[in-house]
Amino acid sequence: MSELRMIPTTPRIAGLMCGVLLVAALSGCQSDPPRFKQNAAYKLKVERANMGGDEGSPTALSDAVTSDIGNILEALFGTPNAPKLPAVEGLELEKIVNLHNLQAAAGPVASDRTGVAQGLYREHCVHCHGISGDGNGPTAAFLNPYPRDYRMGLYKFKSTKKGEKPTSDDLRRIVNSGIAGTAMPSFALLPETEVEALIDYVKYLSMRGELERKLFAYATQELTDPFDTLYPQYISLSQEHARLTAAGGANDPALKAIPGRLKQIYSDLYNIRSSAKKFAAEKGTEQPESVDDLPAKIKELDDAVAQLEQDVKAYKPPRMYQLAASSGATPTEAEKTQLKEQLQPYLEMAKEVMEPWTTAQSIAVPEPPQGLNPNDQESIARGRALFYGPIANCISCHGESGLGDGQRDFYDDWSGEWVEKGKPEATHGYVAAGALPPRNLFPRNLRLGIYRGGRRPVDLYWRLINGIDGAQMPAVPMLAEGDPPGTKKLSQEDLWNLINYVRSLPYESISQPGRVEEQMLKEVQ
Amino acid sequence: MFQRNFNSLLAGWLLAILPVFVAGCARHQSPDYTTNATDISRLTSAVGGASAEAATTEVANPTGWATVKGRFRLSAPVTLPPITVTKDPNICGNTSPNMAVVTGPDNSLQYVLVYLATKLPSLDEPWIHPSYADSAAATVNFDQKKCLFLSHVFGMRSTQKLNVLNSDTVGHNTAIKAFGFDTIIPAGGSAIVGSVKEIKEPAPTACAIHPWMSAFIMATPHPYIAVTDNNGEFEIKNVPAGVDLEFRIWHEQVKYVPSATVNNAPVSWPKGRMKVKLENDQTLELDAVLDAAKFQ
Repeated sequence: MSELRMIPTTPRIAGLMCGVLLVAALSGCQSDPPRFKQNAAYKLKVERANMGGDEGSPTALSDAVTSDIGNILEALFGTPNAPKLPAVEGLELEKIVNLHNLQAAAGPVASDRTGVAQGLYREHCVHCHGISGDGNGPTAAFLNPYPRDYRMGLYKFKSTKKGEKPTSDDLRRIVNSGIAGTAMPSFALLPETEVEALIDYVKYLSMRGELERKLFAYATQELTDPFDTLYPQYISLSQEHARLTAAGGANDPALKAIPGRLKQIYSDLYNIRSSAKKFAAEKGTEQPESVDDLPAKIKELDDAVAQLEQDVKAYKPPRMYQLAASSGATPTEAEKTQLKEQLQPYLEMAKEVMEPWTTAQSIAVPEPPQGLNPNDQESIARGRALFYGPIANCISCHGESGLGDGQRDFYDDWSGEWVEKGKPEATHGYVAAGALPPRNLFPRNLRLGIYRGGRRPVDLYWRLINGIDGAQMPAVPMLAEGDPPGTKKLSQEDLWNLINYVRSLPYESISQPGRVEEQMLKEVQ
Repeated sequence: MFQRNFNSLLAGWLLAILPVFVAGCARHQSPDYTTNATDISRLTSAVGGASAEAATTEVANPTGWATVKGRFRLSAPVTLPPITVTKDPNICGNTSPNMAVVTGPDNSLQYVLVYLATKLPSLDEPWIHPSYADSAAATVNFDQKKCLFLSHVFGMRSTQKLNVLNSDTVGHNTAIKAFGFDTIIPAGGSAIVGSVKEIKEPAPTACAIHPWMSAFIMATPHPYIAVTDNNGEFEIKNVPAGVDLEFRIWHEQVKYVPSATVNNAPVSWPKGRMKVKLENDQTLELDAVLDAAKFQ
């Protein structure tokens, strides 16, 4: 019985199933192309620092301005699938990055017909460093130290002076060797061309991120809302009206008309920003018995109110640029010139963040003075004296035993940005906006024999003579030509002695071995 | 027979559709900000186009010189609690005064920074008075003692040399990140900051060894910059007259000072901007009272 009934239904069900599959196959999976994330935590930081100064003035950038900044960035730097660089006057882009490299590193993971890889950044880097280079990819929160956020344009392990950009060689060294003691692995097995592409893409993300920060800082500092001056004018004109009325002008027709006009102005202001209400309580004024030349004063007030009426009508909220409403996607030549003029400050900022990449130069490392070798016990002893001495002052942070326990409440520049003294709620706000929870930066434990920036003497030389950007490690004071004898600075020979001592530290016995173990245990945990 | 066929069909279908469930579709995420494709294409074509002609607006030259001076006071006394010292108490003391608000007699406010923010068309006459020629390339000293920077807010010309001293008997390291400077300064030592440059806002200055130490250094290309003294007073002489100028007024606690009561009238300075046009030989006197509530 049941079998008989199945006969007609089976094809129908089969047809239905095929239909479902067909619909699924035809509609497919559509996902939006990836976008750069906005640096919302930094935006919040500069808003807190630079806005809302006066009662009633806005405490955050408007959506329109935020969107303007996104538009400017996309116009100058493109998208994760289609990166580009702005043409900036007087700057040779080839000196910074190769645009073909950018294309190879960007976009989805793929390879072309000849097997050349594409989408390298998303293949190798994005899970830690994030699509925007914010050091906040999906794995970031589980890593210690956090992956580098490129958007500050700061790099720790490099051969250039503090405050300068790293050279391509510096970045290549890190990609090829990885960073000992961190989750950054070595990519030495990648073909050379792919490493070059990634280096260029890191520079690109760095420049884009730095410009984004500058744009947010600019918007919060420089854009002023005309409302902020219109409202006090309204208040002072109301006061002037009260003063002139009290001084005997009550019957003047012009003065009689003023309250109605002021009311209209107030209502217009209220429509612009409802927080105007906050100001509404009129401040008391002194009521003079008489005013000299009353008719002239009334005329003045009348003119001032007329001017304010006009200004309030002409009110425009602050924007990063103004576009003519009529024109379409392709502006006329005249509009282009006008737009370019408006964009000039942003192009200058772009130049500011791009130019340093063209001028970065390694500090040349002189040969160590003759006779100095890493196992020279005399040199090590002299280095030890310097390590404890007042000039290099290493122990003040690295601790009396070099365990990195001299000072452990530092933050690096990346975490430090989200810490405001005595305001833990500020940190909560930044973390909610997407910042990684700040972590303390510990001075390196020099007894572990792990050197993040490399263990070669030349690496230590660069760390000492430059300090470490973004961290708290300062440069050692170096003797310059012409310094009188006895100047409290280090000579080149001193520096090599110090390097020899630091390199011998992991093998030096320590007077309190228990403490070492305790410290090491802590670090492992 | 049909039942078996049907079952295998169903199983096959489920198997076929399984990958769809396993792989799923990427979720549509609502964007954290919006962009406008039309705007972007218009901006792009503007940027990609020929370089804009520099706007050739006629700049009027100054007609003479004037003086800006004044005094800053708080509307009520403000005292911040001192900072607990965590290192070298034998030299730095057990507590360190909180320099964020330093007041003098009559609630006068020290360390208010006043500087000319207008970009001057030239750094010569008639924009800069010849009396500043001698100090243009001078070396200025920035000292620290008892784990305190002696000038909590420090104004200088970017053309000057900055010499950081350490008059303490303990080593410091002075970090002025805006200038790319971070060097150990041994007790009694000194170091020249080689890379002072024009900056847009006061640069935080710190010492990593003594983390409570803090100061701000501002460098402008011109000499029209001043910091109020313990009486809250400042004076900037020989300011170009007859042209529109914009001064900015800054204090650590409120950053750019948004408003004040100046000579008994309320004044609004959006983002600390004070616009003035001075007459020849005029002396602009500001008696500014700032709202103490914002300085707590």
